[in-house]
Amino acid sequence: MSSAPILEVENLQIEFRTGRDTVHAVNGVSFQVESGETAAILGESGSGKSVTASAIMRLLQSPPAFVAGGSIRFKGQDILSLPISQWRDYCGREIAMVFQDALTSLNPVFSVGWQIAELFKAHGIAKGRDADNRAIELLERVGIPDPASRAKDYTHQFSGGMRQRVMIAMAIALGPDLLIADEPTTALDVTVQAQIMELLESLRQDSNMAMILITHDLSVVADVADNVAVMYAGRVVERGPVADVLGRPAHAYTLALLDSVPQARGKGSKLRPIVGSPPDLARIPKGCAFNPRCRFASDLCRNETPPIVEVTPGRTAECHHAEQVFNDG
Amino acid sequence: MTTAEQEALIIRRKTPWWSLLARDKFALAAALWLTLMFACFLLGPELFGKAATTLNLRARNLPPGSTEHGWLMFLGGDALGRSMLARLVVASRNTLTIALTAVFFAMIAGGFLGMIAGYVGRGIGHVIMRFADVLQSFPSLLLAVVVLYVLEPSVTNLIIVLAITRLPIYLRVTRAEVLEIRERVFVDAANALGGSRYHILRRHITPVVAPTLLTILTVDFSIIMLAESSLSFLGIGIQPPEITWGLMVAQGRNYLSQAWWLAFFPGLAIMLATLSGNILSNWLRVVSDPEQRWRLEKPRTGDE
Repeated sequence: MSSAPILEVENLQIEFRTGRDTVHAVNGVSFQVESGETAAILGESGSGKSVTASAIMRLLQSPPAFVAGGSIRFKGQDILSLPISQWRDYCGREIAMVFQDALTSLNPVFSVGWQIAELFKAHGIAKGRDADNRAIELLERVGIPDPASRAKDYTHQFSGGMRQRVMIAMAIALGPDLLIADEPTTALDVTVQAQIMELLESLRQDSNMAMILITHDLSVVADVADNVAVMYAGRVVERGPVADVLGRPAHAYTLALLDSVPQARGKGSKLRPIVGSPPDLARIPKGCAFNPRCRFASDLCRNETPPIVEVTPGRTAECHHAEQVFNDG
Repeated sequence: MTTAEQEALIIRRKTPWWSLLARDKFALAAALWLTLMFACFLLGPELFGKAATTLNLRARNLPPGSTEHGWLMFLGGDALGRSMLARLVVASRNTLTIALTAVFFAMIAGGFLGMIAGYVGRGIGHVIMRFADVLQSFPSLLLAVVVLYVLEPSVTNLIIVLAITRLPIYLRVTRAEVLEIRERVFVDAANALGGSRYHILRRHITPVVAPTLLTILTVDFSIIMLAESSLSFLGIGIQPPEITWGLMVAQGRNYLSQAWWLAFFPGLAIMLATLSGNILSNWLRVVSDPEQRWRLEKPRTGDE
């Protein structure tokens, strides 16, 4: 399973240059995705996780977004240097994406069956009836009941969960090797969330596809991911196998995140929300970006950027107090 | 899903467009009127060509409503005693040819340039927008006068001039819509699934812009008819003995105090043509919009 990684992101830096400020949305993100694994990117709103995903798919509008440094390699190919038209040939066939809100990601003026069939037509894989039949097969595969007649329906005639299934059907239509799911369950309620995650997971196992799951939902990560990268203010602050990272965090931010999750069963201990709000990415604080909100923060944190510490083999954290958090957390 | 909902769904899938048209009284009337106009367009000059040019000096400025000079004189006679009815029917061909072709070309050219300006953007977009600025800052009538004096005032030249002067409206509207639509998530999704630029323009942007353009087209239709009539009035549009509704309005204006019907009936024809076009295009917009179609499909209840 672990041959060459299918996706390598190295020291990726993305800036949004507006008139007055430069917003540093992503500041040196590195991670790898092995083929067949599920990697999660975890972080709160504005931590740069969706921007990273858009950068991988090359969906960022430039201007205002600029890749200021770093590289993204997909199957060994540096994708940022590819002409966009060549990269579009990869999209859909080898790498695909599921978006957060399926209602807006589907075209409202065509029936869903037509839209899926169009995917085959646009890639020159199937035509006419054949494409329509493949679309119906796909709808069946993602668990839409009565697919032949539902294929004639329009986006607004589907429920939220069904829409997301349609979106997933489109994403896996051409059998990609890597699927990026950008908050696929955020707009759905919990029971539907579980169904969608289960569907994604079973589809992934069937075709041995790798998946990047972008989410702010800790329970989803704990459920399905193999590895996780926790992002804060445009940096990966902690990386490692899911069970280890969430079981025994080594970064103060991960720990704080775990403390702020409510428990569903019974009355748990008092929640400890993270005080303050994420930093203005045009003015990232000196030192560790998390220091104004961190209960471990010391003078060292306020002045010096933390080094990357290898806590245990295969696990890194970017924290001056990694040892302390790891041991007493 | 309940059975009632399922039934509604089945009805919805099976209702054909003509049965929807039959249910909407206004849309039906509009469609019938346009069909009648189209029949005049096809057959009018052949059937009434002679009657439209025959002078009958005893019927000069004959008021409408009498049939003592034959039923062709029912709508009255013009200043030279020609049948108003026959002239209206015959004029429909020139009028519709000029107005329809002009709006059609204005829409195609404006829509195309607008899409390039909105989607390709930057350099070429700026060039196109400044071109639109130039066209709009120049009084359209003046432009038409200059062009038609230099070239001869033929039907083709008239169509070209009218199309060019109306083009900026389509261009600007298309560009504005494209700028908005290209930011929608389904365009990103199409990109992420490997759609080419051409594919996205054709399959995702054009179908969303098209209804707006069609609505402008029906309004523009009447503006073009009137523009054509003012050109005719200045003597550089359609020249007698050819006739158009606009020219008939222009000629009838001289007699407004003595014989109002000379300008009124062609004016009414222009108004009804525009109104029908407008009603029908509105209906078409609702029918072709999957999210609105149910409004027309809803079964009628007795107490409505």
